[in-house]
Amino acid sequence: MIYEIRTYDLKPRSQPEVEKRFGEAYEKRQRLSAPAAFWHTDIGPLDQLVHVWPYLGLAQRDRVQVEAEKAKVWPPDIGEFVVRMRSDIMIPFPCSPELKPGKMGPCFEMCTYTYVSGHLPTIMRVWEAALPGRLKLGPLCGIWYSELGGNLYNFIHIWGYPTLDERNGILDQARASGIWPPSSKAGDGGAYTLLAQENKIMAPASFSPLQ
Amino acid sequence: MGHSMIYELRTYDFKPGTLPEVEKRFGEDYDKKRKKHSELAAIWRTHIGPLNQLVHIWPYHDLEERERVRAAAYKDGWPPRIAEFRLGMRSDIMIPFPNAPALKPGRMGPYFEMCICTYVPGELPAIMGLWEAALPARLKLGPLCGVWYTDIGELNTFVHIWPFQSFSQRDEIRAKAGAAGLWPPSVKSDSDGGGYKLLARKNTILIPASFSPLQ
Repeated sequence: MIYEIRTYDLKPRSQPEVEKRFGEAYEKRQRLSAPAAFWHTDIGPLDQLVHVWPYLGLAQRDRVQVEAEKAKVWPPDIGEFVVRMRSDIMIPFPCSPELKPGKMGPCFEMCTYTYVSGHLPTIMRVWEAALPGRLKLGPLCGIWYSELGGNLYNFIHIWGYPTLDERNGILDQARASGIWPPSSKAGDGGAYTLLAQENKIMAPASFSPLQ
Repeated sequence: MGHSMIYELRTYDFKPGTLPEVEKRFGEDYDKKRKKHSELAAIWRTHIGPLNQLVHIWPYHDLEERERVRAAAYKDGWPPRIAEFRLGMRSDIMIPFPNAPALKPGRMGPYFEMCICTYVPGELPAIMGLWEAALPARLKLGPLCGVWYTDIGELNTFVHIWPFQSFSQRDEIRAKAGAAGLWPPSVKSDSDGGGYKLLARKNTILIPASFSPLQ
């Protein structure tokens, strides 16, 4: 499975209208292939849509996109509102759960970490070892690294929370007990270096399969 | 109303994992070398947004006072010993809106939401007017730390900072303000032909360092 993350920056205040138009077009589009999740930002860069599309591979992605355009079901007419669009192709870590329809939110935290080139195998190993402890405190939507798109040497992880206050409680508890975040020091399974970290909070659109 | 302060908003990016040591050294050096010359209004680390960042705010009467104070602090050994951890620095000089509250020491958080809006050049008078009109009703639901526009730095932006005690309180205030149509100021005025044009908006959640005068 691969995931395409599409990130659209919109003109300020246009997100409700754009989401409405996506919602209207959604029914026909999802017959060709369903998105995993469809969010807008609540904290971080605002006026932004983030939608995630799972595909078996890039060939399926090409086929579906051609079909959707030919059938004129997608994309909806939103050009007047869009400031910027980007697409990133992400590959799941071996330890990543599959992103399935269901209820994990409604608060979703997307963390984007930039790592030093060459450190990915160590990161995958260390995070895989730390993950079972962390999963006892709350669910992970996915952890993926970037394969194609603007920013390489990135990996992202997405977490679902019922409220942001609960998020803070879980992270405080995980940090205090040493469960999480995974160590980046040598001796704890291998050293790796992060260059940058950022996070944003997203809320699902009404038609998102993941709520 | 109005008051004469300017605020220097300094934003530092650090290597991931170094912030506890950075805050420790910053706090020690601030107490020993810097505080006697002029005090911080607030110093925060980012909690949601670009992480590993310190945001600190220094009030001055004007740029001349800023220069004088900084020259005196340098003689005492300021800046703090954090250069080895730092990736980037920026400084913006901010001017408060005429109706903005002054940033004072005290307990308002522990969470602070900093919103940064980029506006279409020329819109600032309309923005300030709408904010001035809408703010009294909004302040009944919860306080504002400040609203300022950039004079030097990233131009055509204005910044507003809101404190809250928990995320549920933030949700509650936003829901109430939205339902009553009293916030954001621009939405109401759009429908009657007023309003202002924005190019981009972003927000970050900040948490005070232990030595921040504003907690």
